[in-house]
Amino acid sequence: MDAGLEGRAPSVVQGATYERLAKARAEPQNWLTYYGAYDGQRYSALDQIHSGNVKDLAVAWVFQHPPLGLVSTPVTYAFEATPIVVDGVLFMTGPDGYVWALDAANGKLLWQYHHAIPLDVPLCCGNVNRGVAVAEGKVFFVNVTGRLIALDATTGQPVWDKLFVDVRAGESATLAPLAVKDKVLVGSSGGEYGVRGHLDAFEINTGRHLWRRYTVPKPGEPGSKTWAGDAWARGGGTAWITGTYDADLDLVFWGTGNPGPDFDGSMRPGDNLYTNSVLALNPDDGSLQWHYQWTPHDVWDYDGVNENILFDQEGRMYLAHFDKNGYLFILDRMTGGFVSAIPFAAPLGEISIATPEKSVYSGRPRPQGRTSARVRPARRNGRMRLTAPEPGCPIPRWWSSAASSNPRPPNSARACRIGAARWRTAASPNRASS
Amino acid sequence: MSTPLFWRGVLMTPTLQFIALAVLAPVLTGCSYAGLVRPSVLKELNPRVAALVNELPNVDHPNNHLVAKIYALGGLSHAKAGRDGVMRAGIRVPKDQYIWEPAFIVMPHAGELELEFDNRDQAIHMAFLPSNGGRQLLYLPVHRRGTARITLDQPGLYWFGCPVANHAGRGMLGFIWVYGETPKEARLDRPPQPQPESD
Repeated sequence: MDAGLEGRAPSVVQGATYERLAKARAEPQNWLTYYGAYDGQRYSALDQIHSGNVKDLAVAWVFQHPPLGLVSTPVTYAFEATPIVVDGVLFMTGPDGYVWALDAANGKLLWQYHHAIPLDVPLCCGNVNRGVAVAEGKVFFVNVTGRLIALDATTGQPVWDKLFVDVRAGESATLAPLAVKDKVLVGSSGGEYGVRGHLDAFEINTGRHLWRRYTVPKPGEPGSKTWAGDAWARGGGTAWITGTYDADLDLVFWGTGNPGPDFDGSMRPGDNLYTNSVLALNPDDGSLQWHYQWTPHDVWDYDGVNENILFDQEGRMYLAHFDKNGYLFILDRMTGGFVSAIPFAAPLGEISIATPEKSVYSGRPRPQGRTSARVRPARRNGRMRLTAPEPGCPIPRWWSSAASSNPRPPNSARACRIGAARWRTAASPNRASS
Repeated sequence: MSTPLFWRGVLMTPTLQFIALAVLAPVLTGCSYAGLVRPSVLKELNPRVAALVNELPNVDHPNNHLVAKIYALGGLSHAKAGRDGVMRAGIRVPKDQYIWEPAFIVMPHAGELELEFDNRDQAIHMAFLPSNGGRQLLYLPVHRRGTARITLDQPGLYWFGCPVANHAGRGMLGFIWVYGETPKEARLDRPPQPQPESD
């Protein structure tokens, strides 16, 4: 503990139970999880600051952490964390293994923890950290060498510490953990360094390792036929952004990143499941309930790991994902069934849909049970006409509801077999069938 | 038969001595670090020094050169584990040189390390040390000794230095190298992967 600190924070996190975290939006004065609530909406009900007075905002305090000496990896290091606020105490991480507890009213440093990081760690994508999770009196964070560390939220002293990645294999860890029920969930980073992505779950109070879910299947596992040779062993699909959670369905929704190598698809022919996907997981055992792949066989480093936002509308449960392939996807989060896809950026290419009969990667027929026909969307008045074939289901047709003033909701997603619809964007028609 | 005067003159040329040592050093040590160290250090390439050079970690290029420079300044020493499991090593600050001696401490495995510092210099120094929980700062007045205990749990290369004025820039930078492998439970489930050749 550094000199000159308070060395102690109020014991506000002691009351951060799962029940309270599940209703985090009911406490707008706090920011209890990475997204503010499990649904990933990042919405605050506070209304004191609004469009009429935002121009009057002024600096109340500044907390500065001056780096001293050498920092691991000479590439990038930066603040990328979302602060967590619990009843007046702000918990924050910095690059290179730092965690701070501050008085949110005046920025006063209450305690500081620093985990020593070797200089010679191979970090694919910068020395950064995205924040902490709080629960049951503890603050959880990962460091770049892949340790999940639980600190006493009052003193900043370590309670337990578990290594979950192999930094010498090119892995690292940068995300903010997710505390769900009696578990804390984390994912790996390093998708450009020839790794195999994974998520891990640990018991909140003891640090006991509960399960690991690889995001790239090994031979014999479901989805493994979307890889050729031993490309799966370096297939990427890292899970470096915090997931979202639906307490009613008891499902965690976690994004996965690009396949590896990121730009050279010739080394990994196939759809490359489950990269660039959302995985719906049972948090108790990590079992995969359904998946949806945003960009099969990505060769653009779209890295579709970012958040999956949960929302309800007209009695249905949806999941929204803005992907770097330029489309907003809406899924039925109960089943993984496709609902719609709306371009929100400059067109990045045509979008194709895979069905059980034909591979979206090769365009050739596949055995039953695999992906199938490729469908070109037509555009009318700036809107995209979509078809969403799913195994064993009639092909529904509708206008993209979010882009239409008169939305027509899908008619079959709920009834379809889960995890079947898959999409692909392509730079050109030829590329899509190569 | 005596050596001709001309050749004796050539052999005595310091420049040629250095070139000869620079060429022979990699052969003697089998390590690329030998090509990076200063001539004054190359002259000391006896078998013990060669063995120490060979122990230097094979890290990425920026750290590779840094390690070579720091080694050349202060040399290397191994921490010894005591009965209590704590590893121990001593570090001196020689007079007027602005270096740590040794500048390179090897820990055989992750754990606790106790460092005993001996400041024999005429200037005040400090040891700014890596440790889990928070960096430690040890004040080293003129002609005084001090002890610090640190904890490092991850294999790899850590730096320490003197934060007083520009002492680190003048040479008071050192390394702690922690030996060890990633435990099996944290490794990826996959066949062994080919590794790039070191250069």
